[in-house]
Amino acid sequence: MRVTETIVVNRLLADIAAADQRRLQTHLQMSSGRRLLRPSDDPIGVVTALRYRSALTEIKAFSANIGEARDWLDATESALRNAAAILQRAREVAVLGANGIVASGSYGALAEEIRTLRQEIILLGNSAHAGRYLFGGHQTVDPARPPFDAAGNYHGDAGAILREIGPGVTMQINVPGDQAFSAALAALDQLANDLAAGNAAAVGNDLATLDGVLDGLMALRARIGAKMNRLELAQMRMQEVEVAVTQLQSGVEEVDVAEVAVRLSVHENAYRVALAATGRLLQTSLLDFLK
Amino acid sequence: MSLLGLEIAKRALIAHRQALDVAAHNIANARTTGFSRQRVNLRTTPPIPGSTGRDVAGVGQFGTGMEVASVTRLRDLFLDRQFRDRATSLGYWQTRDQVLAEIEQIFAEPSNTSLRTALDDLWQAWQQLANNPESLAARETVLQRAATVVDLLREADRYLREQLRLNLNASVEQKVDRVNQLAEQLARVNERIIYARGAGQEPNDLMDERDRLLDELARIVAVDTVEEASGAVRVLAGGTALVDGVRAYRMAVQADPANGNLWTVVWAGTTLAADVGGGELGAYLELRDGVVTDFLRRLEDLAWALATGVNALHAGGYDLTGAPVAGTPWEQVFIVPAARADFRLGTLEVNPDLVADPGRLAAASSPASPGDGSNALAIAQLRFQPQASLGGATMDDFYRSFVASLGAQADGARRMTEVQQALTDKIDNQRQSVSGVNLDEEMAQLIQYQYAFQAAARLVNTLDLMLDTVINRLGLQGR
Repeated sequence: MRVTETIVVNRLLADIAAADQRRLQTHLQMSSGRRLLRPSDDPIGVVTALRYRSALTEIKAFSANIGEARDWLDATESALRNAAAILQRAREVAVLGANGIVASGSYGALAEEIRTLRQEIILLGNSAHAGRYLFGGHQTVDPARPPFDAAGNYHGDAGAILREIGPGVTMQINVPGDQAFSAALAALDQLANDLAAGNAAAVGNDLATLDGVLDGLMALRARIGAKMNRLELAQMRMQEVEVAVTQLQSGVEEVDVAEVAVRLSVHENAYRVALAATGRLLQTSLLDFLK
Repeated sequence: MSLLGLEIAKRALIAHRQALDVAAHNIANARTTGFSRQRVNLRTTPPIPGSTGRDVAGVGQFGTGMEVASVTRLRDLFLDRQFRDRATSLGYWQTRDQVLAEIEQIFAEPSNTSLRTALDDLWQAWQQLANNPESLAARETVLQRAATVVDLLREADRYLREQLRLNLNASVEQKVDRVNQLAEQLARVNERIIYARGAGQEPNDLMDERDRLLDELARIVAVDTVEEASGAVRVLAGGTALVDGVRAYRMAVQADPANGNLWTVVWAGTTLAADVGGGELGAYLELRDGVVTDFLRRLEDLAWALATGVNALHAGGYDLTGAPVAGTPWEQVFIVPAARADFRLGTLEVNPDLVADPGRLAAASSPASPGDGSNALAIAQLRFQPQASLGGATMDDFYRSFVASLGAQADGARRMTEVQQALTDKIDNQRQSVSGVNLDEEMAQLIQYQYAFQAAARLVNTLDLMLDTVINRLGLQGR
């Protein structure tokens, strides 16, 4: 092929521009630390990166939900544990009353104690977590209308409070107050009345009712314990997934610094060689050899 | 003794001086775009019958020297044709590459400030509301994030529809103007070529000029060229004559009411659509009516699915006061028309009544239940649900496929531009190999002609001496 000045110059300019372009691209990756700067850098990679990014925000949201659900269940558990302790105390009082070993004048005092214990249960039923009633169902905020009034009537509802703990997986975290306490309150009311009347036989029956209520409470606590376990597992899994996805995301989006550093020096070298070649090629001419 | 020798020497002097002029012209134009090197064709002049002075026949013919037969340019028309085909493709892909790279700036993924991030944030806000349905702050957050999504969608829409599409439209008009200018110039050059040819001259530089104009024209529209006997070139665009001899037919732009009054390209004075068939002009038309419109439609689809999906669930819920929102001013979260056909991103907004009273946001799915966040949760879960209006994709998937499509198109355009550039460069190098000026070569020619000129001059000198001998030194008889 016949070589002309224009071919040489064009070729050299194109080579220098290409070498410079590659150098710049690598430099950009190096300085930003990112392999993907726009969708066309790697369309498939970008879509994967976007999926990971969205997955990370989801995982964070689920982790937060799980944490919050655990706090709520913790508070519920603690209220129910206290209620069980109170019922235990009531049971001891009832045992005294049923055995008929107390003086007849003391029955009134026992009834009074049961009434106080019942008030404590009502207070537990109205306990709040982060400004919200734990046991009101969906009726969580109205200070004028707590779940239980002074007489122990339930004003909440059966509404379920749900937390999303995984994609499409929800868990009910609340226990409506009537389920948790209404039986206990009724039993205590009956017990107090029977004690006040000094009716040892009826108190004996109440004792059996109280045992049934306590069993129910234990079952409820066991269920909450199981939920706590499930949440703990879910949280651990979320943490593992978060670590894995973060790693995958950085694998797709970020550059391998060592590799880019090597490539950068290769491209810089190529650029220098292109410039040097230009300098030498443009110097030679027949003119140099004519007198 | 005849004076033929002097005549031969004179012819040689003139011819070699002319050859030197041509070499000078080549050297001067070594870097001129579109210049083809020119070659002097020398030929011997017709001989005369030889004569010894006694005998007419017998010694054959005597040469009478030489002259410049013609000056021609070195050009390969086949390469020109190939180059113009490539130039059309290069113009097309380069334009596409530029515009798509610009669109990529708007959907700069992966990033923390994109529409996708805003959507992620919105879904998270609904989750937060589901967790804290009693909280006014959570409601405010939902509405704020919804407003951010709407802002980004409208911004993208404004950019694509008003800025980019109108810019592309203006480019169509500019390119049509340029085509007309080039066609006009070609017609003028044709005229001068016909005139020169008629006078028996070889209009080398005019033909270079014509080819340069054709190269530029080919970048803008796909053209076919036919060289006619007169030396003029007929230029066809889409099978219709753009330049015919000394006549240029103009293209024109016409507002198309069926396409939002954007320009269509027609032949001037008619309503006949001009087939531009690629090149920069073809790319502008295709980007304007195809790519940008397609991206706009996809964004609208996404926004529509989001707005109607959220609205439908929201309308079935109950607000913080415990009342249903259906049939109230707070029923819609996003203000959208009833039919998809009437929907434009430009009019999408977050319900201002809700913004004014965030308590009316329906987080609950049962009446009088301030602690119920299940409706908000259902809305948050829309994120994972396939949408029939998006062809069964989730909104996230749909957005990702949108970005993937943009990326793949931009990537494809960039690669094609590189390929076309390489091909064009290769053909141009081949063309330069034939037509380009090599200075070393011209220097060698220069020296050759210089020596030939010097030798001819020496011949004159010799003949002069000979004549001097004959005329002045042969005695004085006959004076």
